[in-house]
Amino acid sequence: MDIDKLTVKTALEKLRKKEFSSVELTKESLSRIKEFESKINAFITITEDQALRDAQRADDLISQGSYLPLLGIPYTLKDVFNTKGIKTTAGSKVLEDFIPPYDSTVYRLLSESGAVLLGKTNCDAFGHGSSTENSDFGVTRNPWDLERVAGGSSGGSAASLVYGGGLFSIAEDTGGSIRQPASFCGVTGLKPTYGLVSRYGCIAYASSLDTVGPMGLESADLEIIMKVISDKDSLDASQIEGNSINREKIKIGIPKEFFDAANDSEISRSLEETIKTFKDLGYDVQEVSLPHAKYAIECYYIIASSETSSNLARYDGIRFGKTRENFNDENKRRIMLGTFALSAGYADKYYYKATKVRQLIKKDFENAREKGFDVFIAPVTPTLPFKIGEKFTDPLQMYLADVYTVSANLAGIPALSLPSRPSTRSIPIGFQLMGHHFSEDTLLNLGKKYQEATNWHKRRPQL
Amino acid sequence: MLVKVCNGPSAVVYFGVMGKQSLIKDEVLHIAGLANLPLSDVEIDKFFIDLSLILDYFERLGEVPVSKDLDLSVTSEYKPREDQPVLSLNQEEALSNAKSVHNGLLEVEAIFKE
Repeated sequence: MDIDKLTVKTALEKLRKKEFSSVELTKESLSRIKEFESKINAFITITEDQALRDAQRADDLISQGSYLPLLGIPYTLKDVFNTKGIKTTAGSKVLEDFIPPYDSTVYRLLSESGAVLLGKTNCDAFGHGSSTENSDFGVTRNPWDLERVAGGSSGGSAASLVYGGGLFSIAEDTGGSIRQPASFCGVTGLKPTYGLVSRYGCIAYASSLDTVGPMGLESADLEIIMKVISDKDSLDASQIEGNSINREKIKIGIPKEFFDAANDSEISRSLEETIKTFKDLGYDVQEVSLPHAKYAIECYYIIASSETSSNLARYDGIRFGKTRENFNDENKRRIMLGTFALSAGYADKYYYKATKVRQLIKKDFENAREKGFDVFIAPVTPTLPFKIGEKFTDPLQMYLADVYTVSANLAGIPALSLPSRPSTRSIPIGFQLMGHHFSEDTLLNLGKKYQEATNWHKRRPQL
Repeated sequence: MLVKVCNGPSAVVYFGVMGKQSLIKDEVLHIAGLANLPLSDVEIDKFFIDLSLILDYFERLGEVPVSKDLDLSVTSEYKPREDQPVLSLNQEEALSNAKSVHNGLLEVEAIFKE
């Protein structure tokens, strides 16, 4: 079995045709994980025994002719989703011995659909970071270059996926935590519309920005996974239903504010080629302006820090978890920043101002929609995956690395990150397609068209 | 932008350029208290520097004109579910991660002192 070439779609077909069993597929994934884990550090917990039991049950069901949408498919979960009886840490020492007494909805839905959990992946503690350097369980290394970061906060999900440790991963994106590591590791990741996927049982970072979404090896796989995880859930009051408008003729905007001269030249070159691909596919591609996007970073970091200072107030060491001195530096920095931004005398200048500017960022996308733009194409990051340690001591530089991803979270819109032409030294480069609320189908369809025309998503690292 | 002047590890002084100084050091102590974060003196110094740099960058937000009547709601419409009691965690499950339990209850530090 060549797991490198398997996608969810092809594996489902082969499992049904009994070309291999789920136990064989799961064992192969686990052997990849064992082989590379010492180099990459993508996992906090590996659930081998449970995975083999679940795979056996999947094989039994397949033999009985049962159909479930992800039956027998091995996958990983970012370690922010509660899994009953399985340690869930959010990448933090505060929760290093936390055993959830209940399941998150997304894990329940995946279990009910027959998917096989391989383990819980590494991430920056409480999602606070863009490199997994802020994980209390060590950094995740990029499988394409072990000196570089895998991205964050969902670095473990992206890194393990690209080396064959599972066929998809479920992660969480508050300011780019799915799209940026997907881009750094060369996989495909979707940040859905805010409120589409239930967050019940997902450890909160910033509640008005947090979204749950999939990473996979191609756009077509994400479509299958989204059908499973976007099921309605009465346990998440912030879940909303909406309709997407699928237009026949899609107009793609190039937001000029995302094409800064300071962007890495290899990223600019890769993006130009991608834009040409869409033009060659017959799409109407035109420049557009999103004038407030340049304020997205300060807007995001004020709102996210404010919300996280409130969400993390629950960690008091009484009901669960350890005491507050166990937060790491970045956790403390964001709690302090948020507490300050919300404090008497400063809330108007920081929190409320950011909330208002957020509305302007959102309005920019609505204005563009009125001008007929359905989708926006943009870089995911201004630079290639950076070297481990390069930005670690400079928090502001680390924050600025999120400049292109945070707008989608502030506006609550979906965004799909896809691999494009890599750097001359074979380091992955990605781009993102942002759409209007509930336009996931449009984005995934465009992603499929792009991945039919290119092969960048099929590249795998030589480890 | 800030200019950093270091006179040894404990005497770090910041001067805001163009009259900007977003944070004073006493406020860091105050915030740490509000946030219930036990910070060492070294951490207070460190976060004073970090937060000053970050907040000074955030001053850019002041450039953006916003109207007073701008909507502050951050999410689109959402409907809370009906408030119907349903089964939740039992007592044993709810206490399963607690460090200190007494007679089936959470044990906490005394709030009032005699």
